[in-house]
Amino acid sequence: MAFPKSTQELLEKYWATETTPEEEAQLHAAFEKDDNSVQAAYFRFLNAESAKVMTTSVSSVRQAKHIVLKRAMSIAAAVLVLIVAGFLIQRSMISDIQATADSYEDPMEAYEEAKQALLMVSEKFNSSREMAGEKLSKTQPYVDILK
Amino acid sequence: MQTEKYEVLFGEFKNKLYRFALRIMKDELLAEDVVQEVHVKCWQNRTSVESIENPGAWMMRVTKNLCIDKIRAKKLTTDIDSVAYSVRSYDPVPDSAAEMSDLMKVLHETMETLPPKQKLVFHLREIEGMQYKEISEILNITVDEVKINLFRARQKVKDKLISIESYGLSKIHSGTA
Repeated sequence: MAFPKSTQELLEKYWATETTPEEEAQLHAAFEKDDNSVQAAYFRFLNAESAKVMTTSVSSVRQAKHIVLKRAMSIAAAVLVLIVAGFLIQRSMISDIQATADSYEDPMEAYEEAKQALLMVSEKFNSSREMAGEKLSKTQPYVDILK
Repeated sequence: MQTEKYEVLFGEFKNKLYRFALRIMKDELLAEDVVQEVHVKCWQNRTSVESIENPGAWMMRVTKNLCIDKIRAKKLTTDIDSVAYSVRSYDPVPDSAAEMSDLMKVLHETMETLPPKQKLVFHLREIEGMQYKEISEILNITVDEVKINLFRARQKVKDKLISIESYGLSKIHSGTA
């Protein structure tokens, strides 16, 4: 299709990327009237693309404030959880260290305490063994029957 | 910045941001999500937005970065480097309106199959009518790069239009042109 010389020249400048935004606006206007050419379809396509709008509305400033506040609160909550977890871990580590730490200054005193404790365990162990022996002796008749 | 002033400013750019996000994300819902996030980000930075020389370019840059973050996070198959598009088979209809609609589809496909940088430069110049300097600020490239990318993109579109004029739409669709 033949265009006016000025439009043709402008189009050549356009394809060579030498047009200004004003000249490009002139081209859009010139091809708006033309129905059949592919160039007109091209400029109509560009116009249609630039007319696309967002169909949903963006949240209001109040909602944006709410989102910002919600995000800040969730960050604060996460930080708080981390602090509490860190504190609890630290406390349990300290109590572990304290539990395993020496409780006697004098080694002899510690030795005596350990000796007493072991004697007590041994005593209890022996009495339990005697008791178990007695119980087992009572079962001996049944064992003999089963033989 | 006052709430009303901020709302006017954001309202002015909302659709531009949406179209730009849509160009990158290729999904209306994701594009809308991006615009919502830009809105929240702008509101958070409203005091600094006021002192920015070109808030529109700044918002576009925030939109681009958010889109890229979303694509990276979700590992979308429709990332900006992907240019694989299917071209549906052409069924000739003797109706000029249908022919025009098909021509629009071919133009859309031509635009979508441009390399990522060319596509974004083309969008910002041809759809949004932005100046080279603004585009260079948004895409973080030089003005010369903007011109080169725009030139290449326009040449591809021009070649496509010449092919359509010479061979018709049916040949373009069947890939014989």
